[in-house]
Amino acid sequence: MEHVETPRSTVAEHRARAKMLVAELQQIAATTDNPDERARIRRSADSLIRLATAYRP
Amino acid sequence: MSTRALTPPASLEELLLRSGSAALELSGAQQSAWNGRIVESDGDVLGLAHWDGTLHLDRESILDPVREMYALAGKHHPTPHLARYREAIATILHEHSHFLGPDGATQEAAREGFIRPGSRQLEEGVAEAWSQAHLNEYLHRLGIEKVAPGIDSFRTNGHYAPYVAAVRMLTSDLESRAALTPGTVLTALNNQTAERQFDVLSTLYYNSTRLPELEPSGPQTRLHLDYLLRKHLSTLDPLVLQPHPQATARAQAVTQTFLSQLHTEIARAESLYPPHPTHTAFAGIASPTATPPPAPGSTGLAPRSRPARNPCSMKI
Repeated sequence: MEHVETPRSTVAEHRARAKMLVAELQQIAATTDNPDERARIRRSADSLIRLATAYRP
Repeated sequence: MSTRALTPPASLEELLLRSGSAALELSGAQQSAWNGRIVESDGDVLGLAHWDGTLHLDRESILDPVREMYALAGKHHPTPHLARYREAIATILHEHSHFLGPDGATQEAAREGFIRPGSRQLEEGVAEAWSQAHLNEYLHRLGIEKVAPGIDSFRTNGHYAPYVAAVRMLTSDLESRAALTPGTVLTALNNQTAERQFDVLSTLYYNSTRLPELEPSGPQTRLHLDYLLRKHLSTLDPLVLQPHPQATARAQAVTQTFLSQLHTEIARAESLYPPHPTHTAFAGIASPTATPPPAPGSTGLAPRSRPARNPCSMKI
C-alpha cells in the first residue's frame, strides 16, 4: 500500500463522505435506546465532524 | 504554579471559565487554542473542539448534568448520577486536550495534519487516554470532589475504545523500549497538535532503535515507520462502533500483532548493519512517498536511564 498525500481534487470528496457518515451516525444514534451505545455513536460522529470541518470547503 | 484553585468554581459558568486554564496547567502544554467561547449544542454534537477555537458542548448530556451537579452541591448521589457527572467533565477535558499544543502551534497547521491517514485516530486516542488517566487530577484541581462526593472513587469506560487501546499499547511499548517513565509519551503526544503529533510518535519509535546510529538514510526509514503506524491506526475504524469490551479486546489483539511485526521488522532492519552499511533499512518494502515532515524538535523527553544500545535515543 502506497502512502500518498490527499490531492486537492479529492478533498471535496473526502469532506462530503465524512459529512455523509456523520449524518448516518446521527440517524443511528437517534434510533438507539441504549444510552451508552447512543453516546458511543455520537462521539464517533463528533470525531468525523472534526474531520469533515478540517477539510477546506 | 498552584496545583489547585484557591476558590473552587461554584457554578457551571465558573467551571467552564476555569476549564481551559485547568487543562492547560494540568497538561504542561505551552498553549491552548481555546478562544474562551462555548457554544451550547442541542443534539448536533456531544463535544467538539472546533478549529476556530470554540468549544461546542451538548446541553442535555454535558451542560445540564454539570449544572445539576452544582445545584445539588455537597449532596451524595447514587453511582449512575455520579457517572453522568463524571462523563460530562471527562468530555470537557477531552475536548480541551484537542486545543493543547506547543508554543506557536496553529489550528490551521493542525487542521492540515488532522486529515492525513491515521491522524484522527491517534489524536482521539491520545486525547481520551490522557483525559481518562488525568481525570481525577482535573476534578481535584477544580474542587469537584467536594461538589459531588465520590465522583473520584470509580472510573467509567470513556469513548473511542479501539483508539485508546492502541494508543495505550503503543505508548507503553515506546516507554519500555526507550526506558521512559510511564505516562511521559502519552503526555508528550497530548501536548502536540495534529501538526506534529505523528512526527513525534514515529520519531520516538525510530530513535528507540539502533538505526539512527547505523544508517545513512534515516529520514526515509523514519517515514516508513510513520507510514506503518498510520496504516495500523487507520485499520481500527471499523471497531469504533462496537461495544467497549469487544472493541478494546479486538484492538488490543490487532495492535499486539502489529507490534510483533514492527519489532521483527526493526530487528531485521538493524541486522542489515554493519555488513552493508549502504543498505537502506526495510529494503524490499514499499517506501512512503509522503512529503517529509518538518524536522522534529525536542519534546523534552529523557530516558530514565539511557539505553546502552542507543546513546542518541530521544533526541527528537
